Amino acid sequence: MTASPLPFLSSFPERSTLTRRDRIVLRAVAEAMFSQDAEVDESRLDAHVEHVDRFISNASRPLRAGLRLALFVVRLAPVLLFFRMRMLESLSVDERVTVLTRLERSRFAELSLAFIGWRAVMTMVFYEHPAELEALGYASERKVYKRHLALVPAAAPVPMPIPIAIPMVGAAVAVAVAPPPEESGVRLRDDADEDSAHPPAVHAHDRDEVA
Amino acid sequence: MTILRGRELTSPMSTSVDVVVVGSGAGGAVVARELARAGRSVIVLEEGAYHAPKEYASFSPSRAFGTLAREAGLGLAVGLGDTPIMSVLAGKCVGGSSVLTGGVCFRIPDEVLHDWSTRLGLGTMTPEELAPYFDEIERDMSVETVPASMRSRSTELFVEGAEHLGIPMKSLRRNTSGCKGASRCNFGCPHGAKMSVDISMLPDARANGAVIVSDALVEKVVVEGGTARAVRGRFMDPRTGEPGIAFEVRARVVVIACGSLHTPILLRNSGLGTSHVGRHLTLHPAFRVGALFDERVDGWDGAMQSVYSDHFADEGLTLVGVYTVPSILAAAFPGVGREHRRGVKAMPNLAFFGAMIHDDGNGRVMRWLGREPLVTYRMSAQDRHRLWRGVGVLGELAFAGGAREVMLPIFGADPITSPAQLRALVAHPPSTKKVECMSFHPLGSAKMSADPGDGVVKPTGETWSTRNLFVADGSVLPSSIGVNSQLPVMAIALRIARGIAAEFELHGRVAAA
Repeated sequence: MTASPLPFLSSFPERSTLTRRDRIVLRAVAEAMFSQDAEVDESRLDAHVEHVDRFISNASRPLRAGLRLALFVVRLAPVLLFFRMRMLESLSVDERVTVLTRLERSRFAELSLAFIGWRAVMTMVFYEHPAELEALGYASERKVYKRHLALVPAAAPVPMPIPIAIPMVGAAVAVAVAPPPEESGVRLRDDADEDSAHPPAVHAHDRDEVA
Repeated sequence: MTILRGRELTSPMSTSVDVVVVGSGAGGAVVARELARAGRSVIVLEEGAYHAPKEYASFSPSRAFGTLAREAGLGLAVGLGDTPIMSVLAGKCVGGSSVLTGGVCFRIPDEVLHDWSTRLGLGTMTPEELAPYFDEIERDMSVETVPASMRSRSTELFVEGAEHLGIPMKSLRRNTSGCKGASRCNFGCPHGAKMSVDISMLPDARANGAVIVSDALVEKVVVEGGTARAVRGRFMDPRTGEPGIAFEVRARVVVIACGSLHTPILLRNSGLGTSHVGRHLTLHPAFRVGALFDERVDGWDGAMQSVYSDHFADEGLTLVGVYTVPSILAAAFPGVGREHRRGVKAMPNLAFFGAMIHDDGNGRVMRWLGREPLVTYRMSAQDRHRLWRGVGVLGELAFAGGAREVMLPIFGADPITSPAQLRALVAHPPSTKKVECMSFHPLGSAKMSADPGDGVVKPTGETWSTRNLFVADGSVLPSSIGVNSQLPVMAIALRIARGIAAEFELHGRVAAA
């Protein structure tokens, strides 16, 4: 999976939070989180770190300092949890996963929250990438009401638009065409709906979908 | 809507008006519209930036939080004792938190108002007294019942579970017009269908002559002789986000509507801190449970929130259907590496449902380093009981709806696979510190009282300490209300604004004295 441009304009372009060292640590965490099997392109991991920095730079100075402190705790996790005199970024990817898993489940809530907070930020940024959303089948526009429609034979007659008479000043009557309702077909659960004995209507604009 | 952008101003500003409103969210927008309609010159000062609603559609969740929310949506309430750290979402933009809410609208429950009007001595806070204000706001905000057809499959599955258990679910009401069910309410409605106040109220205020200024941080209320006279502050620098060029607005009436997190800070920075300022904060701690189903759910396909249950209201719990975009949900998934990726890949088969505690816990807002406050919260034993009761109920709903696995809001916990496991966990819960909790309704940090010794503002909204200084936001609510707070805040702000308008000549004489 390769990087694609992620348009993210920081509210304050001159703000930056992460130091060079922070970025190295964050990238190491990102690799463990999202690319344990090297499924994510290197350039995308680099872009991810940049994106995260821009995002957190919208927060206040004390909060950003707190995030950097939390990242330092994550960096120290091998020392704190395994008494290994190595920093997180110097471990292999699988070792990092082991350390971070242990950190997440630490009985000291403050320790585990240092990682969980960063994981939340990184995950939010990572999974809004169009490729990830596409892989999940996420659609930003609603479509389920069409998917739930009953199939109709191709030869079924197309329902005609309903004419409505509108009285107008200076003319006898004007006739308008009512637009078809936007919603139909989903299982209804309100009492009023359950009383209805009529099957869901199929509207002209849905026909292409069900066909 | 024409907005004066403070970040584009290059020289100091000084002006005089009848009314200055600090904050453009649910409370401030109502006050501004009402007093502008009453013929008063009004200026609204908003710390956050202005973005036209049509821009919201192009915002990714991180961009929306970074642009529209305080602390980029990463704000926290620090838990004291056996209390979880809670994320607190609040708006910082023209329109305030109304831009980021799910749009859920409830009136204040009658039993809460009964408590206010009797035990707290706020005799005018009755359902009958407030009904006309609710009626008017509901009409203006296009409050409507969410049709069953807008329910996502995620919600339907939990509703089916509730039906099996005999727990009634009801359709929510929201302030929408033409909702298309994109489940993105928390990031600014991409279709302009949510009637946030930047769409519904502020254009009306503007049409009646109000001036709305964005990027304007108010740092101090100027008080002379016990009467509020002006506000002072600085415009935000567009490149650094730090305050820069100064401004002063003199006014006959000053209305603070910065929300429960910042109203007490402004009061304290202005030397107006009584012992109650910043205390009594309630948060409505909220949590959600995920449920893995065999069928594809695509829970984002439908209204973000569409049903609720008040079946457990007597126990201090409101169940509320909720879903949001995948990246936000994934942020709470357990695991690292392959395990986490596996959880995310299962998301199309996941449903979520939430609950909210009608809390009697005690929070506090304090000045700290920088401009943002330090928020602390201590959950009461009763609230902890409610929390685990809620987790148990949501888990039962999920299994009754056919869930194969249930993900509880406990950091580092593996999914559970049977009701027996769920009951065992709820019977012997882990530390509440490990619970993933959120707050969307901080309330009560400058509470209304019938007596000067019991609160910060009078029932009219005027502060007990300072003449012509009013507060009109969620901070004046004297207790937790147990339901979403946008509509209550707006109704009470409308009542306060009507009171200011009716007594304006008197306020003017006080100001001139």
